Amino acid sequence: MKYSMQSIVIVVCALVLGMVGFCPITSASEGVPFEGGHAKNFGGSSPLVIPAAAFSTKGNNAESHNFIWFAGFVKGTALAGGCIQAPVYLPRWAQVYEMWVSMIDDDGSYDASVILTRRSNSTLGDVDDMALASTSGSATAVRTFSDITVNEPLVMLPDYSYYVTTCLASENLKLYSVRLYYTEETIFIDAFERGDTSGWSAVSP
Amino acid sequence: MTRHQLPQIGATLCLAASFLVFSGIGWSIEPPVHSDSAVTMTQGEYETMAMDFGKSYVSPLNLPASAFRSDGVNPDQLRTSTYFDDLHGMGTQNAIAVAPVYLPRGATVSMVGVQLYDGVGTTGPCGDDPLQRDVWAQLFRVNNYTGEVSTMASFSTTGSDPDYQYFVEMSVDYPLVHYPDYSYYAVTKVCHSAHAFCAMQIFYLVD
Repeated sequence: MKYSMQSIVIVVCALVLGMVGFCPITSASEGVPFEGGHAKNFGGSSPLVIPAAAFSTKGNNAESHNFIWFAGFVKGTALAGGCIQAPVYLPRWAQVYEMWVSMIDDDGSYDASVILTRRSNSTLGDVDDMALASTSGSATAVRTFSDITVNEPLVMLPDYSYYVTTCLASENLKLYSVRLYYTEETIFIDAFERGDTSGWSAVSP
Repeated sequence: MTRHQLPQIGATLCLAASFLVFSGIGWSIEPPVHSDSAVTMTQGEYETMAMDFGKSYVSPLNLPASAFRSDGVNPDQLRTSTYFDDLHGMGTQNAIAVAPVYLPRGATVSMVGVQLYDGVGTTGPCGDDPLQRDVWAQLFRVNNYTGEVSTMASFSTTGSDPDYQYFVEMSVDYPLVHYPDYSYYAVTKVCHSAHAFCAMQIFYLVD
């Protein structure tokens, strides 16, 4: 019995270590590992997580939305019709490849669309919608919606400004956050990724 | 050492390794609940503290009053003084302002400080509830997949004080910045023109 207990302990420990070592822990369906060691990786700062608190009125109906401070979301009000916007601060030369949105859409009549847009800082009317994620159906739980085909994905600063907008047509539409995933390829231009060693010195320091 | 001792040694080493692995990654182990009590610091104490926590060249994240906007309720009850860059009320109703918080992924929030002013006593404007005559500020995180909200740091004045007060919280709850799982934001409440929210400073460390 003594040796049986020891064997059980060893097997349990092996299983635990095996789980930790070989089973990746993922969150939702965005495919990003959930763990505290992100800052130690070379993953850069992606994703940019834009909280609902970043959104403010576009001015056409200032009281058409409320940020519920104790719940962390912004929702429409009975004074429907207003829209909200938030600035987007992306790193220069980043490549945006996905936009994800967390929302509650518990409205059988209205959906909501979140749009990522860039506008030229020098040419009037040069405006491009980069990504659009729309809610659908009706449910009381937080759901995620995405657009994984981003137009004009290269972040060109100072040529363009970037922002996200949405319109919440009822109190049953609640926005929690917008998340933008991007790569920062210029970090690896020393050949780790591209094989381009032209920037390397021929002389060892 | 006999051959019968080998399994015992193996089991001990295995348990020790398990402890090290779990303690190293902090997986599913929430930080302990700490007191939210705030203390008022002198300028010198604050500067010493700021230097200690300023190991990352971008820390602290400073949220000035101009980073805040109305939550949409009573928006006309908020005013920002452009000269002092502080946010104050209009004297009749509570007004709440919010600001997004952008912290680096994987950072650990080590301290949060706020500068507040409260010149409203225990009686007078802003309602009969003494709490409504105080200024408060809080830092929150919200889970992007469940909607669960957690308070990371909380501050409040108590009664009237002729001076601007700086409060610090060194035991921040849920200090690890988890992206994309959470969003972060700050909230403040003022009521009277003798109330002021001046700034929130979030000190953090990055490995």
